[in-house]
Amino acid sequence: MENRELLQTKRAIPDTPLLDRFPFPFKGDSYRYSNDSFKLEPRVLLDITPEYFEEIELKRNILKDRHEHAYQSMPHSMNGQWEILEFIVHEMVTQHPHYFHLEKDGDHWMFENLLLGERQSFTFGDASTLPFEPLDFIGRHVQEDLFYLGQRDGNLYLDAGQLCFPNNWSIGFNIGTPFLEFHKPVPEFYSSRMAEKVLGFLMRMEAGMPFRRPSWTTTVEKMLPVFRESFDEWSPKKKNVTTENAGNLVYLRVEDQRLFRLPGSNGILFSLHTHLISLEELTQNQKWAKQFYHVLLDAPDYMSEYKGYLPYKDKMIAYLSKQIESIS
Amino acid sequence: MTSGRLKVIVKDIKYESPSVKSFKLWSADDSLLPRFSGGSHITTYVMYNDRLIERHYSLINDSKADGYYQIAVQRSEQSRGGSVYWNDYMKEGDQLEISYPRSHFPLSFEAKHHMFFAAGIGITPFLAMMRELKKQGKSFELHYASPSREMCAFFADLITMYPRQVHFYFSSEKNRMSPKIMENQYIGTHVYFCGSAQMMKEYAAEARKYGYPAKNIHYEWFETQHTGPLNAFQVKLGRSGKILEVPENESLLNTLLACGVEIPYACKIGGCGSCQIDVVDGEVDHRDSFLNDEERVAKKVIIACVSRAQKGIVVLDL
Amino acid sequence: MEAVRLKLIQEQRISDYIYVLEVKTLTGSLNFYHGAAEQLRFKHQSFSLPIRFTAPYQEVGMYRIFIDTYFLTDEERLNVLNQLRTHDFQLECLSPLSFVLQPNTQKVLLFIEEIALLESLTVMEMLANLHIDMILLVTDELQITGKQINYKLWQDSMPTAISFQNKDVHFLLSWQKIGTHIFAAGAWPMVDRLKRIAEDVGFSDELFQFKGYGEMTPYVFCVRCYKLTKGNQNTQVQCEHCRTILDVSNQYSKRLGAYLGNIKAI
Repeated sequence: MENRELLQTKRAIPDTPLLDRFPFPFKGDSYRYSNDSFKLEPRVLLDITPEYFEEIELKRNILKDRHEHAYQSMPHSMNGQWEILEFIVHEMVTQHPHYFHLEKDGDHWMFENLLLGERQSFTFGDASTLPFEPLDFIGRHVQEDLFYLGQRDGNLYLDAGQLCFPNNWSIGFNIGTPFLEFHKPVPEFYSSRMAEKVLGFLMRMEAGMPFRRPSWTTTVEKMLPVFRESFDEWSPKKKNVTTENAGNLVYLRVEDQRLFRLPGSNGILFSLHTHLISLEELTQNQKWAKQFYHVLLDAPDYMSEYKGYLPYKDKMIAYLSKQIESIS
Repeated sequence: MTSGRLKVIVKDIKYESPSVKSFKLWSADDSLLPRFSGGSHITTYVMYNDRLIERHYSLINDSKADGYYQIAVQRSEQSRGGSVYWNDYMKEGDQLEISYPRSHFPLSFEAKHHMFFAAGIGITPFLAMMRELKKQGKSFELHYASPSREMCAFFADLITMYPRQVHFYFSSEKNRMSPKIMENQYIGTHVYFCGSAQMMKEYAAEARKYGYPAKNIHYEWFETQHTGPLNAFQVKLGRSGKILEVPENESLLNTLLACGVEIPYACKIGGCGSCQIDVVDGEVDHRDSFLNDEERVAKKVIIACVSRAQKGIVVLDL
Repeated sequence: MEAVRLKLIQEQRISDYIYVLEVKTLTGSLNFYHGAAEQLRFKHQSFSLPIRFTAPYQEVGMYRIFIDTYFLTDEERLNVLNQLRTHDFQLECLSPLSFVLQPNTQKVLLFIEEIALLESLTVMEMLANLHIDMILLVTDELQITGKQINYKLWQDSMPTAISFQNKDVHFLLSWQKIGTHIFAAGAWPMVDRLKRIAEDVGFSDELFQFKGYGEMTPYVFCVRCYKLTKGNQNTQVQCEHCRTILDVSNQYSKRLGAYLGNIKAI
């Protein structure tokens, strides 16, 4: 076997400043639940950022400490899981050949993660040759949370998922449930029949035309994993927010969601990449500061309550207002 | 609409019957052809007599094992160009573009038993489906009607691979396939039809009569719905009174955007509803897949990226 | 809208508490051919009791009404019967039956517990009228007390005692053909159990209709320890296993058979 030089890991991923690459989710001055998906171009799922190493480590620790909370799958999801593994590994080696390598000999695969200096050989299709289920395995090499939505008999089901950075929802509960059911709590979305429209849209998605959409909320402290299972641990922190500390205590949390049709299993691969930016850092972009300020002013209470920031909304608005004044 | 396209090269053309040819399609560059599920089809794009011809063909092989796509085309006298081109002009080594596989005719997951009814070239989607079911050890049977044994495409393959599950009906032997076969099947049976529009309508109606729930009845339409000529039409912006001309082959959405009218939009294929505009007056030719029938009648809206005017001018609330 | 006045033609006591009444309409006609009602209204008096009706002879304005006098005192029962024999009356608080005959139904399997007798007899009447094949499956107790039901349709239907547990039902259902529908009427646990078995065999939702009686005790999924505790949606409950106080949401998982219980916000 050829000797491979390990990349100087920290320098391998270009260190672009967060502000330059942050996926700001707002187009205008107002936000409501809708079908705001748009065509994904270029047609890639992975977004490898300088936070790769810390996020991978955090993810793997979570999977070790609370696997049941972070990974669930239905028995019939294996076909889809293998298709997802193949899809992601293929994208890894075509889009990021400096970071990932693959050797194939029929069904015998040798996968190499050059960033982490890891190798895994396995037989494609034989789960016993991998240390984890295929989705659980490949998810440990990417920053995104990955989900397999099974499409069958006219409905879409959450059939498998690795959720290490949840935004206050439980995959342990939602696994196996249909799309409309796990969106029931989203206000206005379910009752206004928008959820049915989105379901129709997803079910008509075709291979070769992936979609993307942003989702957002705020988090107190720089916390990627916000587990519903630990609600009593993080929820009280909302009380700590003041107008003075909102800048570095409150983070804008954006989920970059990407959806791909999997033509082999006819399911959908759904990825969720969570990005955090402190309000203070956000306000360095004046336009964004103003936009977010207006979105919060305009946000109806039912939405602010569901997104969880209602208790400290006024403090955020006061903070942003002060920042905007001092800029202009 | 630029969704991804795949570049393929034609190899291994074979006669499956005097009027049906099969074609293997390999990737023309080094990329992997995506897998597909049984019942999927591709759209092929060929130039014939200076016209772009788009035709849909079912994928008949096992993508997981093979690494290529295989289709079968029947030479039809009523051909508008597609089957003539494929049968008479396509040769090994030719390259063309195809769509990604699409699944509009999937197998049911909850079915306990699958019954397939094929007439003529309608056999194609079932070939891939049966391969899949056999691999999974699931229960199925095929009823296949053809003019005669000689004209029956894939006869030998089917007899060899599924000796206990296939039943043939040759009109030359006065043996006719009948929907009555569907009567008296066990609960959990799903029925699938692929053949002429008339055959499918007849079988679907009989299946309903025997008590099959609508969910248990499946058939494949190859015509894309809501197609039609993209004629030019006019719209009036109700608030300003301005009149705009939407050119032939152009969408209302693009025309509005080009004129500086800001309309939200997203998918641009009529599926998400983002570009919905209220209509004050006029008749809309709905070509979207977002509104349901009720909404088309009750609401006065237009999905700007795909829908057009029926006739006359449409007045928009803009 | 004209009120429908009905008059008793003939009565038959078919069990200790259930009576069948042949009635005819004097004025007007009921909106439904079959249904339920909650009150008998006479000129000077009203009585609340479970009532079901079907229309065996639609064209002639006749109805067959089943009443259950179990909840009336002896005195009230005599009173009701007297009134019926001497006065015309109206039915109040109408509602549909819990079984709707679907098009192209070839056969119906009825699973009945005693508590659902009134509803079930009416559904059977309706099916017999339309010449739909029926198979009647009852619990042991009901087969015994059923022998005391002095009603021809019931006897002719030959109720078969069957255990409503897994094996027997699964076996029976797996032999059913397309065109068969199921009606299950009884206590909620029985209905739920039957529905799961039916689904497993291949009876999808539209082929399974039901009427549940009594307490529905769903479960709550504790989001902290992932175990189940008895409880209902939109309430507060304490997890039996880890003692966490939970706010029960209205989100339901069919797989778990439980509502999501969130950790209560302090």
